[in-house]
Amino acid sequence: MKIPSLAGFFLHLFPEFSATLYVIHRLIFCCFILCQHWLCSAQNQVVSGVWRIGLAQEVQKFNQFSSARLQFEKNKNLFAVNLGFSPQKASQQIFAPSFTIDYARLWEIHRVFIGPVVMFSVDSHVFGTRFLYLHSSIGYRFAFGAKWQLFQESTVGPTKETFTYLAQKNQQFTWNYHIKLGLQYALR
Amino acid sequence: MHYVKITFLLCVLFACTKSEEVKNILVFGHAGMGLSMDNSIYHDNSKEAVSLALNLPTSNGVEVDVRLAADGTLWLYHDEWLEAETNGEGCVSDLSDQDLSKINYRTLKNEKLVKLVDVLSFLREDQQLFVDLKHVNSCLNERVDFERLKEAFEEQLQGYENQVKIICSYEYWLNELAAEYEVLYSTDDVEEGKKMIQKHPAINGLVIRNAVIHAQDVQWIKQQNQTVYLYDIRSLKGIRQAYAKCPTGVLTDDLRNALEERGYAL
Repeated sequence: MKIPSLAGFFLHLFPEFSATLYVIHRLIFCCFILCQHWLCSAQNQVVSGVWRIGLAQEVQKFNQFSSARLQFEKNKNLFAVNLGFSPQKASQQIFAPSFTIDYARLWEIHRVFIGPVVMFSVDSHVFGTRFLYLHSSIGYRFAFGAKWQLFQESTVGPTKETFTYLAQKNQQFTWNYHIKLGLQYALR
Repeated sequence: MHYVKITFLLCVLFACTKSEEVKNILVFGHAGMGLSMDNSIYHDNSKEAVSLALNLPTSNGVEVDVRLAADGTLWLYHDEWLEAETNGEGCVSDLSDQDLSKINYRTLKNEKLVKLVDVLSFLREDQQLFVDLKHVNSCLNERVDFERLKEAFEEQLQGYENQVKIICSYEYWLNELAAEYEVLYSTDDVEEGKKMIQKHPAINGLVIRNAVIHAQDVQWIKQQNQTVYLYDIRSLKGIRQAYAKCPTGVLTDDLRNALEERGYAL
């Protein structure tokens, strides 16, 4: 339970980023609950999960992101964390980081892994003011390969855009799509 | 090797510096947040789209499409027929304010049709509104009554005369409108536009499709002390091509990217 407490500590230290940190805090907490059956498994049980690292490119309604990815698989369950940035915004001299958490349940059919995926993500950039985007979506994940794995995810779900400019808070909701393509490598 | 590094660093430095000319280009949302754009969130010419376009940081304003209703009120609507985009039928010019107020766009958010006067209050003092005058009633296949239109402008744009520019594509109304407002002639033909500037010196410039005009033509128009605004700019590539021509302004369908590509206005 140290991670949520740590996020709370940062919230206290940096109140100006409270909205972003609050969301990250919530996402980590949700993932902790989703994965607790791995983390809290019996002590004498042999852990046989697979860790993978990889790179992914994502296209969505407002932006495109390139991200590095860390994934853990065990018993058909997949949990991944993506940390990325928008090359398009970078070409406009704007830094737009993104943080994504994926959870998927996969079935293997001849080295092809397929199954439903749930994704939560947050991205943000500063242009005149801070823009914050919160996404949650659901869809499918398709992966092929063992040591080297090519994967593709497509999800749809709601997005919330918020920004405050000249003391006026703006908040919009819209449906969004996320199409992700990537390559990853199994560490063990 | 040392010179290569210095040259490389200089290239990187200058490649990342946005020119002052680009920062001076005015950026406006086309029909609010764009026509049929994936990332616009709201339907074009809706109250929500206009409000969002005007609230984005560094936005210089917005362009809206205006039609005269049967009661003499100016309403925002782009297409000729209501059934094309809404749950209504017929033409704006044939319907009363009461009928039009019941109509909404066929979208998930069901945005309602809105009067021009209802979006004027969203304008900040430093922002401008382009009113694209739709002058034909397609149901009757005739032009709207110019005298009624002038009356509607006089009454409904009161207090905002200095912030409004009229876009008109009908030559015979240009001079009379130009006596009261800033007027721009809208065309897709560069040569015709150039002739109009010389024929009607009272107008303030042209609104022209980005794809049909070259940088030399833009410079020629600016040399005549006229303004030139480009429209139909839907992608980042299109935005960069339009900025390279250094127009007075752009009416873009991708307002977010156009503002960010320009950077902070001077």
